[in-house]
Amino acid sequence: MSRLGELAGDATGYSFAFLDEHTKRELRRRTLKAVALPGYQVAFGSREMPLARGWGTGGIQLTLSLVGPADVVKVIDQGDDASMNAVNIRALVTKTTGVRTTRDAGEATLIQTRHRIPDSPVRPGAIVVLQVPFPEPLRLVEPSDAVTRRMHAERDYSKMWLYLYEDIVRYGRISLSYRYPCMVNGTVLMDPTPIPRHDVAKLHQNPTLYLFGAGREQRVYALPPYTDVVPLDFEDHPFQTERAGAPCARCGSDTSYRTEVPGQGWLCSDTAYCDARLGVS
Amino acid sequence: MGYLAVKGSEEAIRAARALARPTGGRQTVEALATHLPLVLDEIQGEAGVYEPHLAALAFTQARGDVAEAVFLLRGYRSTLPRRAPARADTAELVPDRRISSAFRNVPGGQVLGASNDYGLRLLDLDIGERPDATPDTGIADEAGPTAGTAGVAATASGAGGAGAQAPAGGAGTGPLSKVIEHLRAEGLVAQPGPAEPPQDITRVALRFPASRSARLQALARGQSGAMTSFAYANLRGYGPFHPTLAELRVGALPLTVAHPRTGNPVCIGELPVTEAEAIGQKPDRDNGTLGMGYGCVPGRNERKAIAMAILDAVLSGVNDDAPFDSPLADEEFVLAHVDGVEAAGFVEHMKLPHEVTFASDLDRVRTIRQHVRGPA
Repeated sequence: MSRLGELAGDATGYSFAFLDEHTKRELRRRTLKAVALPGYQVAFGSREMPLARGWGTGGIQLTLSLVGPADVVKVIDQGDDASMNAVNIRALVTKTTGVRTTRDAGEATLIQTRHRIPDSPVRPGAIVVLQVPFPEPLRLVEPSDAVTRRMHAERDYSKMWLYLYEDIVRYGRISLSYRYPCMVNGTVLMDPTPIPRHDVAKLHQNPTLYLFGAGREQRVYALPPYTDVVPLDFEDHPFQTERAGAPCARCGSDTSYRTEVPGQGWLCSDTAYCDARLGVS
Repeated sequence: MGYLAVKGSEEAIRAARALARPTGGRQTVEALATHLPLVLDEIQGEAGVYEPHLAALAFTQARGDVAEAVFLLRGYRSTLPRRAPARADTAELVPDRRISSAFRNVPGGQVLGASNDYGLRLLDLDIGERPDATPDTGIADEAGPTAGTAGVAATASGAGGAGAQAPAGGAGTGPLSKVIEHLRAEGLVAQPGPAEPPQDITRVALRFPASRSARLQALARGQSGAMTSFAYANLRGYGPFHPTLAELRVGALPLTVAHPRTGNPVCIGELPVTEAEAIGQKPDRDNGTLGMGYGCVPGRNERKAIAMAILDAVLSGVNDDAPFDSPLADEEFVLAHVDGVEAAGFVEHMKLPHEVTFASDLDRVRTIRQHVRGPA
């Protein structure tokens, strides 16, 4: 009867990367299924993590199921490596794995992010893990999960199209800001997470593997490299990305995603990108 | 059989009460006030009485049942006279903690104060082995520097200080401008409506449609868990509001009353409060402004203050989506059911004897069964 004890392992310590090996294996299997079905939401038995529930617990489960001792990890929130939530998540990764971390998107093999895709190019072969509050793009028009699953099965996205149409009637513009719904491979409607439209535009035929982890909602989905990702729009109302009010007040970039800081003007949200342009680190 | 005894026998009632007798005393009351202030804030907020000592007594007497403690404190509140209405302006609040999710940084800085938001939630298996520590009121944990009365951390933003702006002097030194005013200055958020005389729902029955002051009072007294659940349902798609938290502040709110003789305003003390201001996603079609929701609760209860701001916005008709029917937009549904005392009382009343009504039920059931199944 010692087998049970062996499986349980050392009761006083934590596993490498916090999760036990059975959980990691389950997560990797679900992730593989998600990669095989781009944009499709795969259910998984999401665990409680030592982070506030819904603050990146899906992303961190994917990260911890994938990270190995040789990985170099980058964690950002709002594009910022020093944002408090990023600091906290990075602390959990390093505390439970001891792996090296970096701010350089070109150096990281694994990037966990909330609300942004780095403006700097990502290292070839790296995996980007996005934290997902709502995996269901149809939630905007239909609150019930049972109903939205049927809508996906029947590829019935008329309510979403109607939403966009009514938006144009109501506001003269499509009002969707972030979390802009996209068709993946022409078959599945996908929620790209609350990244700005600036980043949504980068997803089409992107060479990077993107994984999306929703801890509270218990779903994982994926965009394998070079997948078609097309934002919903109309010929006469094409998809538009955000327009910043000015170039970055610090590095002068006029192609990065910038946010306004009261009293300081428009600044790059990707702080590592901004620093790299200025030659500071 | 024992049940009949509950009804019939004073002796049985006495015995049952003896089994449920609270065992806590002075040490428990002191420990609560010193070490578990957040549960006392929750109780005080829902009871509508701010007096931490009384809340500690109620929680001890209730043996740790929050709903029961709120009920005990509400009952005690009924014995208190209402002296005078106080005025308060949260722009005068001196924040121990002030954060904005809408901007990377705001004038005055992001002030973390005391917060475990960004701590790893690892169960501390040794906490029971250590002696109690003396709490440092208002001092932040390891998340920030501990100078002054609160840890101050501008969302340290990338090397190069792209947004870092640690405010000189830190928090607790004076009022900070409100984030919502920055948005109002640009006309993005509507100016507040004219103040109306406040209605006190503990003196005048809550009726529908409710005035805004009655609604805010009902929400401020709402049960924290119910408020959180309703707000969560809204966020998950069963409601129309997709908020950004313009500002969350925690601090001491000065209260002013008119002097009974001179009529001059007199500050009579400070009430610790948590205030939340949430703004909507889509502009109003008529005037192009963003809707907002307001939450303010006594003590420190950030979860409830945010939930209140969300529910207030939805009940104010802030609608970021194509209109759809949701019970969360129905003020009767929300306001009538967020009160923890009413809800707990009625759900638990099912324990009362109901043999008379149940016999009446069975009479109908037997008759109908005979009708649908035919005579035996």
